Amino acid sequence: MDAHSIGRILFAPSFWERVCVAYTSIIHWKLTGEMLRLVLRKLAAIVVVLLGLTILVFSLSHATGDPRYLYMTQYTRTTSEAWEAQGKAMGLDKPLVVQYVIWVGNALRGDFGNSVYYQRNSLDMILEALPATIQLSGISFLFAIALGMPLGVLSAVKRSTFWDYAGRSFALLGQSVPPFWIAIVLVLIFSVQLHWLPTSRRGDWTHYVLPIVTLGWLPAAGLLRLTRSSMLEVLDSEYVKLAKVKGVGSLSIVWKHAFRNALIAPLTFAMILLAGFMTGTVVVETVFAWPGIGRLAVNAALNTDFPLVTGLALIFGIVFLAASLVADIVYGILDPRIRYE
Amino acid sequence: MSELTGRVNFTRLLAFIVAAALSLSLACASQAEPETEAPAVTAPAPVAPAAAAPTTAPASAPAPAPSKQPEGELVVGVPLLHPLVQLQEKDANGTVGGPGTDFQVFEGIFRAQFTEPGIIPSQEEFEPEIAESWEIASDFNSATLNIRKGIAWHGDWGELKAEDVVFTYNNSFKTGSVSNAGEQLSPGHRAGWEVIDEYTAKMNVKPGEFSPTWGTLHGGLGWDSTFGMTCKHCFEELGESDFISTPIGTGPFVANKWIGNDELEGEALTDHWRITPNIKTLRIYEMPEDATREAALRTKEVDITQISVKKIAGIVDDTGGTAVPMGLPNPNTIYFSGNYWAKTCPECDEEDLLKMPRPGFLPDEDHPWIGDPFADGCDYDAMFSSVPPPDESVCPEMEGPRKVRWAMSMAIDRQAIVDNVMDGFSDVAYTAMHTQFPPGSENFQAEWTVPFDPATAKQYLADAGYPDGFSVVFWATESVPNTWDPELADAVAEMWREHLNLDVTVDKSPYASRRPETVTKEMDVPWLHGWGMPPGGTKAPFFCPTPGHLGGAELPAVVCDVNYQNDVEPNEQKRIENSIYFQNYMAYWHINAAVATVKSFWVHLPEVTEWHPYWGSSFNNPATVVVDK
Repeated sequence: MDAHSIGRILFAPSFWERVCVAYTSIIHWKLTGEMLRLVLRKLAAIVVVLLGLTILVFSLSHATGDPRYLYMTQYTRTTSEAWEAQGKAMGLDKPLVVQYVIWVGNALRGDFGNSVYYQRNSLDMILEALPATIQLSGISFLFAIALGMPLGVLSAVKRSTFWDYAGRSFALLGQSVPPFWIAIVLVLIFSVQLHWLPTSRRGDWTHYVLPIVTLGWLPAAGLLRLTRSSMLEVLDSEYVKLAKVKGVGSLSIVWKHAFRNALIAPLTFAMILLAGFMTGTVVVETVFAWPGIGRLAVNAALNTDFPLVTGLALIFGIVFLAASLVADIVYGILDPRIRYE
Repeated sequence: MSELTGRVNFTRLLAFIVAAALSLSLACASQAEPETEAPAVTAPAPVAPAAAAPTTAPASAPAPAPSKQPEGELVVGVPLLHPLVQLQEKDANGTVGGPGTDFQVFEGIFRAQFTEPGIIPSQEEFEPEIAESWEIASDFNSATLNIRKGIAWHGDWGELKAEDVVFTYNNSFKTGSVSNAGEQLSPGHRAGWEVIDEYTAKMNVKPGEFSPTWGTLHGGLGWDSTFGMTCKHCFEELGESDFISTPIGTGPFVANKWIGNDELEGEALTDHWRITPNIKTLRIYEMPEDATREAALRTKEVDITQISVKKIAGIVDDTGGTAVPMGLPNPNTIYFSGNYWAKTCPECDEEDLLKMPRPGFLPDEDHPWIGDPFADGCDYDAMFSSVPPPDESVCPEMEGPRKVRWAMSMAIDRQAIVDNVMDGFSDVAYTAMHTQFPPGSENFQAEWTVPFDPATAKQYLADAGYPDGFSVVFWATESVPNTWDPELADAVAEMWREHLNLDVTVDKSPYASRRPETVTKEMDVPWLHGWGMPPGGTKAPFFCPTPGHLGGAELPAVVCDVNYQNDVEPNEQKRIENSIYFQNYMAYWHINAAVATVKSFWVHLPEVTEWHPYWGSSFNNPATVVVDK
């Protein structure tokens, strides 16, 4: 951090403004040096991956044969005249490379074409379904972190005790039982038998409980195991031993010294998880009749709604890449060694 | 140092991420019910009572007491709620004439008479709806319909007039149209409608092609959907993109919300011209999973829902509810695709199919069920001149595959499937025309029966040159389980493996993924399909040359021509005879093999004290529902 930044912090008019300036200065400082290079490297990689993704999606439209088939409905009547006209309208008479460039150009403008099934703009459909999925996956993400990380710490600190076995059993179940089965069993117990919670659909807070548990259990299990192993590694390190020898309290050792450093891996993993939540809601949204992009994707696939599938594939890809970029930046901030690789 | 660097920002970073995620979730949570809502809709002005219906003895569905005001709500769980596509030319799923009229948001020109569940309504007399009367011209080249006055569009969109009716039909006939209802009309009836005056519309028919069963589709007796009336000037004012998703009907329920694949919310009109619903609010929820619908019924989150046959007995016992069989059962039928035997396709550009055979016509060792009537030694014309064909007219290239198809059919224990897979809620079926000619009925022919005889089936296979079986892909989609049962297909596949030593791969791809093959005639594998249809109809369009969707086989003109006569034959008995003639060919050559029926059952809770559904397999006629919660 340079002298100019320090001066702005010191002479800011109020306490909170000083805090804000300090925060942004730190971020700025981080980004001006090696962090900036790291971000640029990652952005370049994302561009390449995105290019690959578009080529892949475009190729898939031709892999199944004539792309016109993808736009057929049950009541399409194929006279050769209509067939040719459709081909021309889709630009199939042009060289493949030109078709690709046109397609990418449209996609960059958010124009994936009208959904064959819905007869509406595909991007509009995706944006309408997105809030329901963000809502569900956002809360499930918090649920997974709130459950997985503390249980991971508990499991590590209370190693080989009842708490450890309980935590690991929780993780084992979460990682081995398929979500659709969890969903159905939860509905059977908490809705049909106990009448505590509704079976499905979006509504008040009670409607969120079962989908969140179903969606969050598996990632919570992953976070638990990762946090546990990281904590075990850190708790075994020299500086923790030194702290113990110096008589530092156990709570302080666990939360102040060990937990912060053990969190590097789980936290970056959590960023990727967030993307997974966004794109992995297919089963949960279907079972719980949740009107998000997971169900939209299922319906699009079942109806071979190619424009919509294309839009969803690219949006999913972008979400994943954005999440991985954030994860890389977070990792870079947390662990400076990454920046020099 | 790395630890220190990490510590400096760790708390802020963690707090920031959690706060951001929380804010995001809360922000999104506050946006409940986004999606496309219909514009504000006001109830139409009171209209004069409708004139009496001109049909003879129209049996209307019992209506609730007119003095009672609508109250309470009805919640219905459906497996699928199509997004509204309120424009015929683009409405491939028939959303206006299907769920739109079923849920009484839209109305048709007339509809089938009310019958108790399981009883097929008349195909000749109908209940007036939008049209208060109609008259068929003496030359059968047109019909004139008198549109009822005073029918209001939902919202402030004014009165329905003849131009709206004409717009609805003509739009479905446009070039490139994928209209579900339009496709189901017999060709002669796609000649175009015209406005005679404000309240009179004329349906033109190609000379000599007037269909005696023309009312079947309009009355809601077709396969999928009928025509629901749409508003011409609304389309012009809103523009195509807004009009498509903005429900503007004339039915007793105003759709305040129609979100595809999610929910429909209807509000009862208190002064509808035809009926005042008993319930005030209608909620239709899409619940794709059968298990979810079952759970929702058990917890009383829904009042009525569709349940697969295997669960009915348990649910009825546990809830005290009632199971209602709806519409005609679908005879699940295996189509032995690839038998494209027609020489010409008059409706297609490529008329000469000998020069340009269908891509799926592959009579080779990999497709033992596909016969080749054009092979040397086959007398094509003589072979199809009668059933059974004259001696010497049939070549080995036809007889071998015929035996293969019969073998595959005879290896199926239909009764075991009905008893075990369908839990007894099904019937053994032998023909794709099961609903017209069920076994034991007057017109059912003994030779259509297919015995379960694995030994003979094995012998047939050996005769055809496949004593050790062969490999086959059997496409049985999982995407519409209440129409074509995937477990039934699994059972069939297992019987083929056990009795015929076939190497069967069951392909459960979604229907839409392989559907294009039926249009391009590339379909060359056995697949599960079949649907019920009322007596007197014709299956010919599905097995005769067409540029559109096809059942994977094309019969010769001599067979198709007879059955096509049903499109114009006024005598019902003659139409039935034509269908028998057609079925004789289908049975002898065994182009398809029916297995068992799949019925559509809807279960309602005891709190639903009254419901009088019209004929049809989907939930309908909510206006008659009385809920006592």
